Amino acid sequence: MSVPDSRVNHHEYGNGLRVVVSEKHVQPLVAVNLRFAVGSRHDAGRPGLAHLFEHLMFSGTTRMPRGTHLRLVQALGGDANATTSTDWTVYHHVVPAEALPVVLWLEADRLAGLADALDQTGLDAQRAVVREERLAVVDNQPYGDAVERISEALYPAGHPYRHVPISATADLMDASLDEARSFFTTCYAPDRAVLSVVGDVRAADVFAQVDAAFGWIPRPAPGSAGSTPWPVPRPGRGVVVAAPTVAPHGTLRLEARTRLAPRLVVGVPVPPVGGRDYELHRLIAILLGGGPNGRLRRRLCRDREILADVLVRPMAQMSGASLCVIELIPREGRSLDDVEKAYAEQMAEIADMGVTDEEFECAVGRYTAHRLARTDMIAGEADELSLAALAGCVPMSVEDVRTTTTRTIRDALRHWCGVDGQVLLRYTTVDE
Amino acid sequence: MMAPTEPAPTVAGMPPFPRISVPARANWPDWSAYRVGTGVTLHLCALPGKAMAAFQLFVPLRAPSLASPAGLGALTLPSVLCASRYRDAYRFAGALERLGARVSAGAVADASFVTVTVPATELTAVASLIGEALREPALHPIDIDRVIGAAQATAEKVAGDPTSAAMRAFRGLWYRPGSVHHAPPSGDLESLATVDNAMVAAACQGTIGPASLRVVVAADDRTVDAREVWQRAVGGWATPAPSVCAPPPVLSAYLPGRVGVAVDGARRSVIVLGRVVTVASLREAVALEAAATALGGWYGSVLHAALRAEDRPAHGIDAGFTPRVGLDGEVVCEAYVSASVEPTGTAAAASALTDAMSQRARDGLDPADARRALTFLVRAQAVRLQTAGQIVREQARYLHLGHKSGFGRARLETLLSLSESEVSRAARMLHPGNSSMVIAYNPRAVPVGTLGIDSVAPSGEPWW
Repeated sequence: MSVPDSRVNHHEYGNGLRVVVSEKHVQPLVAVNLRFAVGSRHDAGRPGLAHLFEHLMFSGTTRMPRGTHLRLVQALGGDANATTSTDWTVYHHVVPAEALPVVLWLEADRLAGLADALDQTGLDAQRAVVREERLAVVDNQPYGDAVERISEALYPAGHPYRHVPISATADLMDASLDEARSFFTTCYAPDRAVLSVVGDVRAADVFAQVDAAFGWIPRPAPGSAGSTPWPVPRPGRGVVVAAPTVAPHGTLRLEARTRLAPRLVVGVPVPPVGGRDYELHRLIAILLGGGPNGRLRRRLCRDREILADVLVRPMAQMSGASLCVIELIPREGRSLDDVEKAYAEQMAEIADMGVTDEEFECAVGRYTAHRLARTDMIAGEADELSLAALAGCVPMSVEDVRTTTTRTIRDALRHWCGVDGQVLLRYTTVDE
Repeated sequence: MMAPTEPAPTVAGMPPFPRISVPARANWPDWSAYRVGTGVTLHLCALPGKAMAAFQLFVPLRAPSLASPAGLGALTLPSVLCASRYRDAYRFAGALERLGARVSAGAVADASFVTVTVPATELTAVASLIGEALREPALHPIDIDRVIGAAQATAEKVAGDPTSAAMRAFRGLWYRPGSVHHAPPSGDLESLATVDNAMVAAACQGTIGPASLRVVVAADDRTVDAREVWQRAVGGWATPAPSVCAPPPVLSAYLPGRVGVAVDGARRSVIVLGRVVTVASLREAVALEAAATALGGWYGSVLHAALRAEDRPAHGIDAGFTPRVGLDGEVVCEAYVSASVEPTGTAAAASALTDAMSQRARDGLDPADARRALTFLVRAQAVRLQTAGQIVREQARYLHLGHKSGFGRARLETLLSLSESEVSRAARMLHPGNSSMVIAYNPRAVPVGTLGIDSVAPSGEPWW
C-alpha cells in the first residue's frame, strides 16, 4: 500500500507551541489546524464554557473588530470554522497558500488579545448564539439528546465527561465576565496548543512564518494557571490523567419518550484515543455497522429484517475511555424488545465466536480506504496530524491494521463490549 | 488583496499585519480521451503520488425514451452495477468492500452515474469486477426492486422539502414538458410508483452499452496503467445498446412571472429567482456564473449582506448555475439565486429579493463584489480538485452537460481573465423582469394573498 506523497516536520517553539508541517503540492492551498487542549472537560462548573469560547474566538479583538476575521479570510478566498469536543477545541482554515501569514497573524492575535477584548455585550451575544445552536443541534433534533443522556448515566456526578460540549445551562448563562477572562487565560496558552499546516508550502518557510506570528507570545510563567502542562502521554495508552474512569454501573437501561419512531441507542465505553486500542475499536465499529457486510447490518437488517438501519460511531475522548454510540433503528412492526434481544445475541456471538474472515477483510478494506481518503484532503491530514501530536500518538498504520487478527478483535470485544459498562437508551413512542 | 478593515497598531513584539497580494490560482489537471474495449470512451487523468484512485461510469440520460416516467434513467446504472451473473448483490458488495472500494450512485437531469473511490493499488481488481457486471449483468428482480426502493426512500425524504419543490417548479417553468430537464432527474413518489422491474431491465438493456458508456478515471500512473486496466475490464463487451443521443435542453415558451407552490408542513419558505438563458460564448456563460455567485453564491455575497444580516428576513442565501451545451454549441445557462426564509417573513423577503436584484441588474455590481466572486470561484475550484474522487466528479460534471473534455480548464482560465465589468454586465441578465420567481410556502403558515403570485399549485400536485 503506498502512502500519500508528503513530508512531515515537527518543531516546538520556546513558548511551548508545537508545530507540525506536511508539504503537499496538489493545489495552491494550505490547511491550518490549531488544536487547543481545551474541551468541555475543562468547563469547571460552567458546562458549555469551552464551546462558548469557540464562538468568542470569532468575536473580535482590539485589533480586529468583530466579524473581520471571517470577512478577511473569505476575501482572500479562504474559509474558517471551529469545533469543540470533550478534550479539545480546533480552529481550522483552508486558504490560498500565499495567505498563510494572514491566518497565522489572525490566530496569534486572538490567542494573545482576546482576553483584553472580551466585554459583556460580546459575551451575552455569543451566549445567545450558543443557546440557539443548542436548540438546533440537540433540543430540536430527533434523538439529539442521546449522547447527553448516555454520558449522564455513564459518568458519576462531577466527572468531566458527564456533560456534553454543547451545554447551555443556567450556570453558563450566569458566568461572569471575569470568570470568562479567567477561563481564557487559564486554558488558551501556546503550550496547550498544536498547530498543523498542510499544503502547498515549504516547511522551512512555515516555521519562519510561525515564529514571526507566534514567537513574541510568551510562555505562561511557571506556576500560573496557563502553564498547566498537558499530561505526558503514555504511548499506546493515550493520555493518563487523574480521575476519569467509567463508573461501574453494569448495564444501565434508560427510557426516553419520543413522538417519532422508537429507537434503541447503545453507549459503549471503548479505549481512549491515542493508541492502537482506539484504532482497533474504530475497526470494530466498521465491523459492526459499516457497509453492507457489517455484522449488525447484515444479520439484523438484511437476514432477520429486525432493523431498518444501524449506525455505529466512535466518539474520541482522551482520558479513561472514549464512547462508541450504536443506534439501532427498528423496522416497522418490530418492538424495542425484539431489537434489544437480537442485538445482545449478536454481541454475545461475536464475543464468543469472533468474526468471520470475510467480515474482517471487508472491514479492513473499508478502514484502509477511509484513512487514505481522509489524508488525501489537506484539511483531513492537518486534523489527523494535530490530533496525533496532541494525543501523543501515531495512528495505527494501514499495515498495523492488516496484521490485526480476528482473535485480537474477539478479545477486544470481549473486554469492552460485554454486558458491563453499557448504557441502553430506549426511545419509546408516545402519541401526541 | 486588501484587508476589509485596517488592523489597529500592534502591541510590543507583535509583527505588523501581513500585507499580501494573493492572485487566485487553481490547477486543472490534464485529461486524455481514448476508446477502450469495444468502443467505450475513457477519459483519463494521471495523478502521480495519490494513494487513492477514483472513477465514474456514466450514461447520458437525454434520450427521449428515458424521459418518462421521471427517474427511470437514474435507476439504470445502479441496477446493472450491483451484481453480476457470477456474484449476487451481497457477494458483489463484499468483494468491492474488501478491496476498499466506496461506491455511490446518483443522477442529474443529463446523466445517470456511479462513482467509485478505491486505493490505487486495487484499481485493477475493482475495474475487473465492474467489467464483469457490465459484460454479464445479473439484473435480478430482487436487486432491481432494492434499487427502486432506495430511490423511493430518497423521494420520500424530499417530498415535503420546500427547496426541492421550488426547484422542481422552477425547472417545470423553463423546460418543455416531456423533456428530461422538465422533471426531477431522480423522479418523485408519483413517477417512481409507476416504475416496475421489467421497465428498468429494458431501460438498462436499451441504454447501457459500449457506445453509450463513459468512464472517467483519475489514478496514480506510477501505480497502475489505468488505460490498460479498462481495456481489459470492458474488453469483449458487446451489448448492442445504441449510442444515446443527447438532444439539447428544450425550453418552454414560458413568460416570466411569480408563481407559488404550496408545500404542506414546510417550516421554511423557499424563494427561487432566476431564469434559463442562452448565451453565445463560454466567456459570457462564465461571467454569468460569476454574477450569480457575486449575488448569492457565498457567505460574503451581495444578497447575503442585504437579506441575511441581522434583523433581515432570510436565513440562508444561495445561488445555482448550470451551463448545458445547446444544439449549435451555444451555452444554455440555468442561473438563479434562492433564499430560505421564515414563513412570516416570506412576503417581505420576496420583495427585498426583487428590489436587490432589480437594483444590481440596473446599476451593475460593485467591482469589489465582482472581484471577490471571481476569487471565490477560483479558490472553490482548487478546493474541489484535491482528491481523485473530486477531480473525477468535476470533470464528469461538465461531460454530463455535453461539454468537451477541455471545458473545465477553459472555464478556469476564463475565470482568471474576466474583468469586473464583464461580471457586472452579466448581472443584468438576471433582472427580475426577465426571470421567474417561485415561492414554495406552507399554506397554513403563509397567507397566499400576501405573496403577489400569479398562480398557485395545490399541495403535493404538479401545478402546471
